[in-house]
Amino acid sequence: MRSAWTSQIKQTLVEALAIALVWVFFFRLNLFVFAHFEFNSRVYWLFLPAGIRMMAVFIFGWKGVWGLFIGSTYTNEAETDAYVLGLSAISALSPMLALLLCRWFYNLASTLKGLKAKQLLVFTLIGGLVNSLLSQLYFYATSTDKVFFGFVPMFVGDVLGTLLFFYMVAKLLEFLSAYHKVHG
Amino acid sequence: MNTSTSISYIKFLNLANAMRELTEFPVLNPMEEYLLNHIALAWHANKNPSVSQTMHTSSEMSPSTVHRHLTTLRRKGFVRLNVDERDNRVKFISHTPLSQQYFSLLGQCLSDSVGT
Repeated sequence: MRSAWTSQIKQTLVEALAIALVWVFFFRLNLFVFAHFEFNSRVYWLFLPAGIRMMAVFIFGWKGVWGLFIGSTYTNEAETDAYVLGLSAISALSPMLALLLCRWFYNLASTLKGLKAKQLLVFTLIGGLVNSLLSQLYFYATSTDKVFFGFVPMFVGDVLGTLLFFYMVAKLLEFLSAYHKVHG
Repeated sequence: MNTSTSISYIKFLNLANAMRELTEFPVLNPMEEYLLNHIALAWHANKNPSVSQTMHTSSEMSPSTVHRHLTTLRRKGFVRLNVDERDNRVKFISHTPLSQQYFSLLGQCLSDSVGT
């Protein structure tokens, strides 16, 4: 019993760390490839890691949330640790909130059985909306700048980034499927 | 198959299927394809067949089967139903940008395959 519990903890940790690593990789990639899409130091008009957020919670659930939290804590830079932890918590929890909302609305099973492309698009929009809104509310509450400048670019960045990420994954799966058919 | 890893894999499969739908043409089964071709012949003759006509002129399927496949074609975006202005009971089947794109692609594939 104890060894099964320990094994489960280890598996959760490994999966969370793997997700954190993937987040860090795509965050760095976004900084490098989409530098021209920067709105400010925290907001991009195209943010590829947003796709990692959605996939992490879709596939791994709450383990995904932990992984995103760890990854975001590593990549977020701020003056205080408390500020970073707050921002990371929003980054990690907002996709889960979007997923729970959409699963409730579409009455989807936890295994995502029957998930359609249109629903995926709705998840993307809701995910972008929740993250942008909560992030901007956090910036508003914790800074002297009392305006929502970054809401639209952040929302656009999250949605475009997620769609681009999903498209890349779909094309990769197509390529692998075609490669497998040709080479066996 | 209830382990955490297998459930994650099932989720991944379901997610992957949904993502593929984002990048592909809606898939047609053979009967839907037959029906769409049947309707396309009428479009090519500059006719807009009605739902009722289509249901009763198709020799390969029963009227109820035709109606069911028409519903699916409509849902997938290949056909549009327009209500007759003179008689609300009559609905005409018209093409959509997707069906035009579909036949255009098929024509292109045919041209490519014969090297023209």
